[in-house]
Amino acid sequence: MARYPRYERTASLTARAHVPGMPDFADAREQQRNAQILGASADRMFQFAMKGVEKQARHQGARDAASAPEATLQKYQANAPQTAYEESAYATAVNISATRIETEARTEMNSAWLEWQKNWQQEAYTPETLVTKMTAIQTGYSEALANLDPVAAQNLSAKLEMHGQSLHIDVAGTYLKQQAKEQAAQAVRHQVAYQDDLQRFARRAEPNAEMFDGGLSLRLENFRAGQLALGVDPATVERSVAAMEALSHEDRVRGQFSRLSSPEEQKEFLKKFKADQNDGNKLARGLDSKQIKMLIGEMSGAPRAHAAAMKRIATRVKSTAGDYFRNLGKGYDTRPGDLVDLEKQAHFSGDPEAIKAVNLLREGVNLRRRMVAMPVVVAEDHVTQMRNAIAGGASPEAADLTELAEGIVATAKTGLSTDQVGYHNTIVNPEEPMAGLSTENLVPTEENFTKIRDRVQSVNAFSATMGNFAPLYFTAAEKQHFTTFFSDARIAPETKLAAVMTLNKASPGGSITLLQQLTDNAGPMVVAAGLVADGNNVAALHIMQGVEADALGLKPEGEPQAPVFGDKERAEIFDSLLRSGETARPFQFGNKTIATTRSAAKMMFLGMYQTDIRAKQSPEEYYTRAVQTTLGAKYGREDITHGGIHETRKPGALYGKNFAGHKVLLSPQMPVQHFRWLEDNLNAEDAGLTKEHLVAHDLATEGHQGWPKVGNKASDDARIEDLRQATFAPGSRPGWARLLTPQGDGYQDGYEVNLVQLHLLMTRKFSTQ
Amino acid sequence: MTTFIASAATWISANAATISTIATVASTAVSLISAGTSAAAQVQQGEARAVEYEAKAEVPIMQSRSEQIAAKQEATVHREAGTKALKKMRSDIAAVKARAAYGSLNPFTGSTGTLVNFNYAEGTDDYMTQVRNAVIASENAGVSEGAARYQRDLYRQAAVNARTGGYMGAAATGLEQGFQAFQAGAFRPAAAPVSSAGGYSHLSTIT
Repeated sequence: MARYPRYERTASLTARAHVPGMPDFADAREQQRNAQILGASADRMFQFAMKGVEKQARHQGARDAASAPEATLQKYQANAPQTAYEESAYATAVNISATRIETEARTEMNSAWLEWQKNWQQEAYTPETLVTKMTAIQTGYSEALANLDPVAAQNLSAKLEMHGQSLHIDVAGTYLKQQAKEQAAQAVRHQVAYQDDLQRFARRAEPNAEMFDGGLSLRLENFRAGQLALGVDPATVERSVAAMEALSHEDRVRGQFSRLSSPEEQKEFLKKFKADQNDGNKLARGLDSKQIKMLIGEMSGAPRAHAAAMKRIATRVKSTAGDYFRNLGKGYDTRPGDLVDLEKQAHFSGDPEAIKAVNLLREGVNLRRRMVAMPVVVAEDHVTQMRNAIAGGASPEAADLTELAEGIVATAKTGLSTDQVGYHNTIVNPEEPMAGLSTENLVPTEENFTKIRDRVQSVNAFSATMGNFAPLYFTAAEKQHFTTFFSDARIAPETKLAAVMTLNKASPGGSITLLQQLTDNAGPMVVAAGLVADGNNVAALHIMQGVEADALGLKPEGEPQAPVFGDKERAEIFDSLLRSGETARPFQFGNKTIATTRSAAKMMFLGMYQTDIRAKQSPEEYYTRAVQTTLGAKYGREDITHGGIHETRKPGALYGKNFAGHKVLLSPQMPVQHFRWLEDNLNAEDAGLTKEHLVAHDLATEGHQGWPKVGNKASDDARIEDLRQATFAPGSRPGWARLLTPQGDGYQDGYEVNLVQLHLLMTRKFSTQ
Repeated sequence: MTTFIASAATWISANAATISTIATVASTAVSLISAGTSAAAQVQQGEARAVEYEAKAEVPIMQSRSEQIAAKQEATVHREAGTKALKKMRSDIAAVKARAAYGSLNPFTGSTGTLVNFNYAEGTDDYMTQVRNAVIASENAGVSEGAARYQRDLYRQAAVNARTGGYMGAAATGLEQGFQAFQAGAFRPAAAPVSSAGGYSHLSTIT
């Protein structure tokens, strides 16, 4: 078979896909590069900015810590600082504290140094004690800082050690210098001591020349040895020895001369001395011509000088005794020590007149001490007796003592009538004076109550002891202070009211008297005190507010409710209330009482008008209320409940047939309804009884305990006086009334009295007759 | 000489405020100039890099062109080889058919037909292989061109970035140095100097 061609494959996939090389991402590289540049730049700026922030934080931290270092330390002492701010704050606070501690330590070290410099002569102040103290200061302050910063503490310790060393070097120098000075001073003291010893030895030396010279020589030898031992220059020692020897002989002569008692002996001694002045081996031995001349001059003039000195002493004693005697007449005592001194000087001078003057003074002192304790009446009797005793002629001393007694009585009268407290404190009993009072004691405290009460009781007792003088409770100075207090418009009325309440509490019932003395009887204030005593503090406050308003020139005129309401309008209301229309002097009030009441009512009106204005009330109503309240009335919601002036419906029955008026002033404690009840239950016949009926009427026969007695006040007038504070209530049966007293002094709650007798008392109490 | 020094001292004392202001202004100016110089250098540096990148951007294009030519040449070779394969296939098939006809055989059936088909298949495969080679070579040209263009664009973008980087670096430098200068107090007003004479002129009356 023919061969058939068979196709042979030759082709193959030889073409290879072209793979491009990795592109050069230059853009990315550039972008990356840019980013790196930007990043690096930003990083640098950030770093730089952070440095700035850190710097600011550190600065702020330092500043904050500087303003409050203690608080910063407390804050970071427990919690370690973390941030730059905290680190800086803590470091600054530590630095400040370290500086402060260092300053304090230096100050204390310097103080210790100064103290040592001042006291180093004392035994307790040695250089070692100073070093110990310095070390203690250094250690103490360094340890104080070590809690905060040990490194700073080490630095501080080193600084303080250096400071302490420098101070110690100074101290050591001072100490050594002073040691040298001390030695020199010891030499001086040694010399002075020997001089004194030699003077005493020479002055008391006996005429035995041999003994004197031996003793002097021995002492001078000892002195010489001592001086040389103390390092004194030998030449100086010898000069001192020579001088002391010469002085000793001078003293020897003076001593011998002074022991001679009579002028004759002295003359004889002087004669012998002169005789020996040329030889110089007896009395004049050891003396040079200059000393001899000087001693002759001294001894020649000695008798005259002695006499002159004694005369001067006697004159001074008489003058002083006379002054003391005159002061006795003014009430002032002579101190015992002064009297003894005068007696000694008088006897020393030997002057009879001086001795007599001192004896008179002693008698005067004894007389004064007896008389100032006497009641004035007794003292006056004593003066009378003395005057009678010298009437027939007596010694000048007796006349002087009589005159002194008269002066003492006059002083007592003056003191007791003007300033009893001052008289007591300076004249009668200066050893136990009454405690002083001031406006501070007007503050209501228990202590002040006690103090004022003590004063009142003391003055009461003193004035009674001195002869029933009216008590004067305050000194002139106290009175001036209190008067200023109560009249000072700058002091609030409330404060003044508190003061009055204090006085009232300290002296219940006596505050009016106290106020009268304190305010020169200034009407409104005294009325206010009375209102406080009655328990009406609000009314008293109104008076004080009115006084203040008046002082400030605040007038009711011009107020909306009182366009025109002045003195004239007030006078009309006042007169219509207090005047019955038939009697010239209603309620037995004197002109002064009327004026006081009028003034107080005006002040109360002003005070009420300023502080308690009520739109519904007219000025007339207000003023009426003020007058009634001033007279003791107490108001309820609208009307008077206690006290005040009231129209009586049965004047003849209740107040006696002679009662011509038609108004009655009730006691502040008396309820108005009780008053009306009494009017209804009394009859005209009862009014006919008299004081004699009362005295003769024995209630015991009526089955009662009798008319109550108050203390020893047995008279009906005293009973009437006691009833001023009484309150009357309806009794348990017809014809009787219950009698209540706030004091309870003698009356019992619920005690019933016969209306007949009650009527008589009320006649005295309330009637115009 | 002493007089000159004294006069100079007096003049300096009298014009202390002006001198202080000038010194502050000069310090500020120096810091500003320094910052400006640094910034300008960075701008120039960025510009130079940009120019370099722009030059580089053309190189891959040129290289790509060479590669494209080579690829096209290769494709041509493959296409020619394909043509040759087809020609040989036809020749072989024609020979088979001719010999079969010569031997009175049906050239389209039996083993002859199988051989014809075989030659046809093999020749076609060769041809297609060469066609694929040519296509790959052609594609390689495109790939090369694309890569070159891509690289060119990258370089161009790099040039832009370099230029931008220069400006950004300059701005950053300026900002940084300005900030530092500000922190140092260059732009704050000069503090008023303490006059050496004004506050104590009254002392001149004290003899």
